[in-house]
Amino acid sequence: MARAQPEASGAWLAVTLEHALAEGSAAELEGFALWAMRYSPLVSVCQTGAVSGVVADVAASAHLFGGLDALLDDARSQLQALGVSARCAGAPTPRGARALTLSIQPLKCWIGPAAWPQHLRQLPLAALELPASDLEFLASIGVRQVGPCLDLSGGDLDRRCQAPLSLWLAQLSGSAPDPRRSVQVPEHFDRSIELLTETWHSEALLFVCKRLLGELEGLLRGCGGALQSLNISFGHAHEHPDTALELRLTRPTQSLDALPSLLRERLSRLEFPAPVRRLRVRAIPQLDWQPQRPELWPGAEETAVNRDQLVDRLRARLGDSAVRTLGAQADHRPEHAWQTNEANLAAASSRGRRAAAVSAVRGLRPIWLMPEPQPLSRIAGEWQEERGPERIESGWWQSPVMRDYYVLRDPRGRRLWAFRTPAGDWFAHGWFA
Amino acid sequence: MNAQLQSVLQHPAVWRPGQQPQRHHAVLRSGIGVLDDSLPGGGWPVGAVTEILASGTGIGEVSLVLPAVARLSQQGRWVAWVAPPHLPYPPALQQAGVVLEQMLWLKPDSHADALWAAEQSLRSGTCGAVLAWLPDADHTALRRLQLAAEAGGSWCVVLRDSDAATHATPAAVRVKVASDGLRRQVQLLKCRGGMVQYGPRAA
Repeated sequence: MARAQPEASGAWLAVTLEHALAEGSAAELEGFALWAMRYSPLVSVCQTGAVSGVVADVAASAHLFGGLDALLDDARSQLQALGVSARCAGAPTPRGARALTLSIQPLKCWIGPAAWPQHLRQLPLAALELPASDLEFLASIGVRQVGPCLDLSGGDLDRRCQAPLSLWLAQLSGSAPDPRRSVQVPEHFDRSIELLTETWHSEALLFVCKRLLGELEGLLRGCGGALQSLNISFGHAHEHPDTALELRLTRPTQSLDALPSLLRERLSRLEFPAPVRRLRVRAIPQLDWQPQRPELWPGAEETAVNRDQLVDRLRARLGDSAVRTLGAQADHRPEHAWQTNEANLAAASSRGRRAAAVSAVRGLRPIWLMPEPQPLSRIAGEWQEERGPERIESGWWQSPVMRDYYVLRDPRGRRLWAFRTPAGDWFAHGWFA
Repeated sequence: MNAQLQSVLQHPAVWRPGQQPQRHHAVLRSGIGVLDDSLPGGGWPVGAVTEILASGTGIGEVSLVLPAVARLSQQGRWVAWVAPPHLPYPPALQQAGVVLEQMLWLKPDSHADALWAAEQSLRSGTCGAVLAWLPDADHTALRRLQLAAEAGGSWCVVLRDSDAATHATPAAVRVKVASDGLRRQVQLLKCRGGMVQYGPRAA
């Protein structure tokens, strides 16, 4: 079915790198395509000679970024933050968007379908990436812009040029289809970058990491997946083994905004045996991830996210074993009546108020428990019995232990939880703080 | 009285004798009657540092804040315990009404890490209270914690030895806990926006 205005249908973002890629750097362009997937999963690579870039079909996703102009601004600021010099432009056709990035001055704003027929006439022919001989020929007949070229007869041009010029012009204006092969989303992310110079600097490494994280985030958005753990290895000169760093998050996430600050903490504590030459980031996206459903009450979801971020940050610096939540165990033996848990129960505990669980323990318990019972003689003070005894026996399945627990007090007012063994020895086991 | 003078008198920093101090900050009821009566606003100040000085472990310095901690945890707020000297014993906390899942136990290796952890927990705004054992905290460190508590709207409790009483403090409330051998005594050494009492009170 022919549409009334086929020109008016599309919205394509083109990003073209300003620097030429080195030989055999297909991986870099591929990584760049992954980065562009944050805007749309339909990304294809364009490479003509040394000029490489990507085009992305953003017609369906532009509204998620607040419109085409906002998307363009976002792309520019993202690229600037990553330190990539590239030109961005938007047009109704992929060839048009690409040509805009290659024309002398890419425009600040998106060219809409209404303005496109007029605008494309002023494009220089050089932006169409024609072979040099074609450009020379067209210049010799006085044609340097797209406009006059459109007025010429298509058949004649095709006979005289190497490139299929009439097809390209039709694709440029949008009157002919321009099928593009989309980049396939890889199942896992594995990218490495060779650094230009060896470095010890954590900030320099962080900068490179940020670039790879930008690509990873694009992949996650492109495939609708999330990330919970990430492996980074730092390669050194030959005789040293790679330094590995594993970053684990409390909850799978798609947005990696919080990751650089976590990485900074980890990097500042990492000790390298030698300067770093290469950096490799590996991650496997979780595809069965469901975005957090919005909560009924505003704020609850935000609190859970903030909690996860706090736990991630604390863990990054203090280590996983130093950040715990507390729990009780139904056991009458004091040493076994508690446990600690991984601090990732944020989601469960944020589900609103919970009634305080009733303790199974009847007797008085101290707020501080010593890691091991200590002989009472080691703790200075004149101790007097205030309360007790409470007999606690170990289970018959263990070596039998019988303890009579007392609350002791000294003249300074300190209160101690101590027990006496059947042999008459006193041990301190906790403080009533 | 002219309008200009009136506006000056409205300023929160101006206090006139006989006038009840104005409440400008949120408070958290301590759950201990005598203490609530003495603290300005009727409770521990939220978004500020409360310093508790104890003359030794085991005289009831933690149980002073435990009722407030228990209530925060029942409201679904987190409470971070930064570098406590021993294990906060879960059965005892449960007996005090604390919801254990909301307790975050942080064991940093160094004083610098402890300060950092306390500041991060305060600033994130997700912790209702942060209890930090910082024996070596200096004026600058406490000032940082005070700013972080203000930013996060969280209650920061710093527990230290009573030797620190001779140093100046930026904390909003400074309490000294001692004991006469039988009863715990609590003395308010400093409280912002209230009257300091000069004798210890049993609580």
